[in-house]
Amino acid sequence: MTVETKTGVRELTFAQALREALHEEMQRDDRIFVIGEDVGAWGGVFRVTEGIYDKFGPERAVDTPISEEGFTGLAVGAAMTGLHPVVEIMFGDFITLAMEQIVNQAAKMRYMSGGQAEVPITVRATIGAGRSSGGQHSQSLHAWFAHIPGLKVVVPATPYDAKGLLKTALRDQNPVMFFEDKLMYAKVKGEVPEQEYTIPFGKADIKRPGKDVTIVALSRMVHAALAAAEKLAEEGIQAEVIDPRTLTPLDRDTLIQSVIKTQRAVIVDMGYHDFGATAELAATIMNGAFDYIDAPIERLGATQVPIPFSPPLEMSTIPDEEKIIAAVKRTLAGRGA
Amino acid sequence: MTDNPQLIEMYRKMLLIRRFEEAIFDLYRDGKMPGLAHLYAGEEAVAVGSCAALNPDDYITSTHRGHGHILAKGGQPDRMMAEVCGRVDGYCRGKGGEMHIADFTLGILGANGIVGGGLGIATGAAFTAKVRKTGQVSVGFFGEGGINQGIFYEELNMAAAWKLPVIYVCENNQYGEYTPWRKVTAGEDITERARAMGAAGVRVDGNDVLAVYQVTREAAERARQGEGPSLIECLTYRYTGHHVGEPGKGYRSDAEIEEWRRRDPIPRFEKYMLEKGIASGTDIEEIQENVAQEISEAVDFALNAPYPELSELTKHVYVE
Amino acid sequence: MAVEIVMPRMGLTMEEGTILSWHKREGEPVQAGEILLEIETDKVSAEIEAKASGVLGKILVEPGVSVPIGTPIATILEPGETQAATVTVEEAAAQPSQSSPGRSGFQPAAPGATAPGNSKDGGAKDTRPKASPAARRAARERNLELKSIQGHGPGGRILESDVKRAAQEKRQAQPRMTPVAARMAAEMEIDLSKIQGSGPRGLIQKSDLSAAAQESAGTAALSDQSELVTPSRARQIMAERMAQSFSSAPHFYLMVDANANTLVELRQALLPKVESKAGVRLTYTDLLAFFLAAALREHEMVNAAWAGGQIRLNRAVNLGIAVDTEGGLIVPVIHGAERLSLSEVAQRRAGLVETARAGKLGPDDLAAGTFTLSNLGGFRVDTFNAVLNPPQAAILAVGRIHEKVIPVAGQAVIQPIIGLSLTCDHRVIDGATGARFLDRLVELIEEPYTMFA
Repeated sequence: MTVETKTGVRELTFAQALREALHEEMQRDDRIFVIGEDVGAWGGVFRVTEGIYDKFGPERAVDTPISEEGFTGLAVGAAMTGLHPVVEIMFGDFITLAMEQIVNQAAKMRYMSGGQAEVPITVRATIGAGRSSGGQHSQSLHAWFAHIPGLKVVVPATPYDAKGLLKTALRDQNPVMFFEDKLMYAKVKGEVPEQEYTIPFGKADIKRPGKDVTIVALSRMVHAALAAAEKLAEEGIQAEVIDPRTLTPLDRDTLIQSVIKTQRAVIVDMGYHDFGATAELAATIMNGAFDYIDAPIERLGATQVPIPFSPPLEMSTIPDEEKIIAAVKRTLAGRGA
Repeated sequence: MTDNPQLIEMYRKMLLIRRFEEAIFDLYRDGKMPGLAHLYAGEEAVAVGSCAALNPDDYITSTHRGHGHILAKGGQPDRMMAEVCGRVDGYCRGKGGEMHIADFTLGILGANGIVGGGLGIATGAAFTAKVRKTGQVSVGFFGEGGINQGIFYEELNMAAAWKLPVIYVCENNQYGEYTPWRKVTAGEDITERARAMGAAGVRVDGNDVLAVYQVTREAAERARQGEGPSLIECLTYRYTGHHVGEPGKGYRSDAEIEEWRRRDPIPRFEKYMLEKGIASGTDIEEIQENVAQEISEAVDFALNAPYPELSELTKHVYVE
Repeated sequence: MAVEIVMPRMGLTMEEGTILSWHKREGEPVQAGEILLEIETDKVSAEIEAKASGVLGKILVEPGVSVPIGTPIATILEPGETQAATVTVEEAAAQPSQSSPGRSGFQPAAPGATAPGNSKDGGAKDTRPKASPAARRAARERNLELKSIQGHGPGGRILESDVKRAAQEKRQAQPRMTPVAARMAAEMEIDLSKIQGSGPRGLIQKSDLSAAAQESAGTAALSDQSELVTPSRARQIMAERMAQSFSSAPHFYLMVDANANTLVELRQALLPKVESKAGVRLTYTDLLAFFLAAALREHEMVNAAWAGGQIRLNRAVNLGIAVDTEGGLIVPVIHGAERLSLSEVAQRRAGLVETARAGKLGPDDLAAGTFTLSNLGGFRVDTFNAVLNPPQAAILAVGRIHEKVIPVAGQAVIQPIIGLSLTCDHRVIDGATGARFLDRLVELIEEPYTMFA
């Protein structure tokens, strides 16, 4: 259900925006089909594939057995022979079962065949903790895939970005890993134009301009960063919030230029802290803006423990507005003395 | 049944494979090829018999021991040899190598280095054929080691549940690397596993090219009719071990190797053709000479082809 | 046990010295008392003896380099001993003193004079300044040393803002000037410390610079026709002192042409006597020195010095003789000249001049002068006015003896004339005092027998 706001622009939820992208692209391109657990007749556990089964039929909304490796492998074969499967991995943690098909098959097939193969497969997987789903249902493993040559990795934060980026993924002839924070599906709303648009990969978005510190944030953390920036502004600190949107390809230039300006950076992600996406972003900034950095780059990620079940414990592992503010203040320490 | 030209072609292909593998053996031993070689010598009847039963636009996926499948499906020896030698004129521009040769124009969706790695792809190709209603079938070759990979059951399950036009050809050459299959495989008859999942399961003498051809034809028919997948277990043997240059053949007895040599599919079929008057001694000699020539030229081509330039390194990671 | 050699203090006012040359090489054996090196300080060069025997270890300061007194410049090792890494101040402080008891007066090393301290013993602190990359770049761009900047970041880290503030403070310590003047000064490399600003609160304006600018322009035009030379230490000091003298002491000049007839005859008559007694050839300088000493004894106000608000009246006449050497002007002193015979004066003078020309004057030779005699009579100079030799209150400048037509008893006669000019520091000597002295001097020159009266 969409809502007409008084400005005449629609506000959609994150899930609605994704659904719209799927419907529109499946209409455009009959090679596209969705495949995964409960995606067809049920309409998807998170409702993203709702309506596809009815509109496009069972051959384009394929309900699978619980065989992540199996149906991802099947999707790879289908992609290599002319279709464009959209695989849904219900909980991103299960992607571990499909790693062989994604990493050893899909990612490398084009290269190993010397350019003969094209593997237009889009794998949508969820990330994000915070619902007491336990250690095996709450992880954010997107950083792993940015490590693998041959894959593209997309991490949208807003409904606008989600729709535009998913459409681009569905038009891309390469394997694309598309990560959606499950807590944003219903809770995050945003303006989405009715007109046709796509968002290119490899273009970061400055969600809020500023001059005192750069906050780089991924997925749900973009919202925490924006909230932190509001609070900081009250104290006269103007934070620039940047959303890279895609890890591969990565818009390094925008990050570097920003820190050349602000001289300080805080990077926030929901993946585990150690060896997470923030490490690559920090190294990028360090290398590109070295002579301008005036404080150590701060990295915030999920605490390096398996995600606990009990709410107070679980919430403590997730970077939030307060932690971001504290990190910003640490980078500013001593500056005005 | 098959007609004579087809039979002669089967013979020629088996010989081609044998000579191809022997040439690689020599190249390897002379230090002229990088990496390892996993030779198909001894198993020719499986590849040739099964591929003869397919149409040119049918798909196959192959294994790390894939030269036989690729040649049987029509792959060119010179481009294959160049790929094995890592040259830019190889099928994959030197970037795939011995275990990853592919020719998409012939429906060869790549040889695969992961045991069972081609099964998902083969099943997916069958899926495409089904939804597109093209009548194509897809063959996934794998070894008896792969029968114990989880992926086999996941694919077989979906293929059987959805009646996908896929044939899983299991080349049981008795050894998974250095371990005899019986030691690590439950049950007496692995074709039971297919039947247990509602698919057809057939066992065949893998060194009898015509028998292999027969059962594959039947499986392809079933597939095209929408009756779903089949598992064909081909009993066969590899003469040169898991890979060239492996330390000794201590895990296999001389007696065993002797036994399987007696069942060599090529002299066996030669004898058959001569007996049935399908080909004369001269015909056979001629074929042998032509094959020798073809292989010799392939080796020359490969060794004279250039290595890829460094600029090749970053190409084909993505579709631009 | 290694013995440390430091830059020695050679004179009361010496603060730093320049190594001229090492007489020994690293690894060469050294005997106590042997000349180890030569240094230069103020106007003096000196040979320094080794204070121990052994083998010369690492030379820490190269010739041509100036270091403050007390700076370690080398080590003398015992034969077979190896050179230990030199320690930083912190390390030395941390370790119990195992060397000679005099270690408590350990001086911090001059920059570049010691090797970086090693941290093997764990007692050494890393003295490298902590600074962010941005701060480092800012310091580089502004030519500031990080170790001179206070850091306000966590753990004392120097931030970019700290560097900018330090640069600002440095700028503010410099004279205030208009942007135009600043640009002019930079372009023409004008030394701002010499410029007086005529604007409000001393603001330096373009007009203040124009004189310096003209000079600069003039020299700029010469740049490819001329050569810039760095003067020796001695000359640098001379330049500073002369400028200082000339600007701080109010100079006035008393001039007279004295009749040198008697002087000439006197010298002629005394030549053989002095030769046999002192082994030197008697000069006019000797005679003038002798007469000066006598006159100064009678006029102690002229044998004096301005001493920061007071006047020092010197009892002895320590007569400085201006000597022209290759290295420039130098003024060795004949101490107690009032007690010396003419032969002794001559002898002393000859010795000092020879030593001066050999560049081997010691600090004692130059110290404690009370009056200076500058004789340019060897050149075609009739008279000249000398600059006071600080802190002395007077100096006598003497020109050549030359023939002139002068009236004697109403007749025009050709007589040898010697031009004398007495410069006086008006803070100490006023006109009449100086005149009385000069009058007596001329009397001695023209009528030497009045000495007996």
